[in-house]
Amino acid sequence: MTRRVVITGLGTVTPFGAGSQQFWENIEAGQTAARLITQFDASTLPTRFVAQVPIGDAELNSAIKRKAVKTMSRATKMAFLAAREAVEDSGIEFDQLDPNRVGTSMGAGGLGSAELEQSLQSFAIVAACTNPGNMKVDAAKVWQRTLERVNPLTPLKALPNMMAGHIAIEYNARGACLTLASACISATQAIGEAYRYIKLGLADAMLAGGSDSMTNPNALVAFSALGVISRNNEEYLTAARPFDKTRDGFMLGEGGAVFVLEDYDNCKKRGAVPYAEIIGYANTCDAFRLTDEPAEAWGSIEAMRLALADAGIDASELDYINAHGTGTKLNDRTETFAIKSVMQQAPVPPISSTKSMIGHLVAAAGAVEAVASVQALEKQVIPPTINYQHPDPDCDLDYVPNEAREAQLRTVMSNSFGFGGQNASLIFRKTT
Amino acid sequence: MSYTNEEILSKFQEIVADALSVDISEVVPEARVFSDLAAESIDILDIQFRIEDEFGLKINRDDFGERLAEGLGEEPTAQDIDARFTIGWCVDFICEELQAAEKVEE
Repeated sequence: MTRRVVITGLGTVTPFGAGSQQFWENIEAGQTAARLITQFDASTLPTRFVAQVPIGDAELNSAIKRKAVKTMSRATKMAFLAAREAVEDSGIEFDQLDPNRVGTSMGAGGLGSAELEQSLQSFAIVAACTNPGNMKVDAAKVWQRTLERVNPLTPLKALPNMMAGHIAIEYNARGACLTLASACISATQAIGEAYRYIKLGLADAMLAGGSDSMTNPNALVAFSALGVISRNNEEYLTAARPFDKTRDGFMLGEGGAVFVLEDYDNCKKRGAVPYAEIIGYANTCDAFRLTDEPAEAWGSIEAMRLALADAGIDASELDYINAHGTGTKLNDRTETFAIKSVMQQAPVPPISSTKSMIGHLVAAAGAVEAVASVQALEKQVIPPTINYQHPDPDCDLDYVPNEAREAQLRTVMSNSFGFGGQNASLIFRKTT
Repeated sequence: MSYTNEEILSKFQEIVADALSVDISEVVPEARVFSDLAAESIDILDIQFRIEDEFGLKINRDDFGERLAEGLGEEPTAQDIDARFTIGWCVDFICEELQAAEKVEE
């Protein structure tokens, strides 16, 4: 016997600030969060804009008001605040539940700006241990000095599972504690696996989502080297343009989102009104190339088909798809092909990419996009793909260009694809 | 750099208040680090790091442990250690370490 899984709380920290309502108002209005980088000197880098959460580390610390903040990475801090909003939003009282049946499931990525600032100290150490005559680094001396200089709490910030750990401690969630670190599908997987735990009766409630902070110098260098981010500095406000013929890569963003997921019966028993139900999920691997999708898109097609099968619905029942839609040449073409393949003879529903507004939140992308999908169901409005001006013959679907659109929405799918050939799809349905 | 006893106490109070996110008014000499100020083991490592940084000291963890257990018998209980491990005891310990390093003003 399987159980129904509903979403009863949303929490969101995005480049539009903290709060799910703030996020929705901005994406409904088709705003861009793109900003020129001012936090560090990016003048030597090919990309000089990102979509950053407009909340500094000191401000995050004072909002969190916990001793544990000193062991939190920036991504964890954003996740913690998102979890707090979600829990308050849901009205759930964890002391009314068996703590052993409450779990956490978070998608996590790499280190953020604050931690890398600290690691910059290690460059200073390296410099101090470099013999000036021949520029040779005394490695043994570097390790010795580093041990003398590193605060013992710093390594705790770097462990990816600390995000789920901090949230579990805060809410006394003693059940499963999952950390998914699967690049751009991390959060989608985290929500999907949490859904499975409740569906299969392994947990009664889960806090699930993801958070990431990839707008720092290291991330910019890394993604620049991979050639996947837009270099359109002149037109940075409109550079994130998924499905447009002139797209040249994505914009890096940061943020996080957390859901309270509950067993439907428990939700009903306590008289809560759910936002939506999760009815389908699947994840697959292309098993092909690390960063290139196959032109036949078998992995993403299979993820969507399996999610539909899990939901027990036909593709024709989809009313909107929140695309992965990064804005790279390859992704948008392949995703368009994959969606058409899944729909077969059925009319393809409207598709949009919220990455056009907030950028690519990497490990957190799927969590924030799941929030957008659920809000679309709630408001009966499809958020747009902004900066769409030049149709691409390879991308010939309805991408809800530039303006939000009212629509009757009952069933919505959200896609995430990632390096490693990973694919995941979630399907949400309006609860009536 | 050398310190007066008052300076050591006030600097240590600042360090502890910051490391444990407690109000400085709670960091009184009789406060027990574990049971009154809710420190956990990693906080002790954090505080040690900050003391070493502030006072230019190097604290040997074995020496620290031996001194904390001194005179409490063969196998001191957790309660014995907790009762002894107060802010006042820590300040005395730092003063002694600084004296040994000749960094205290007589």
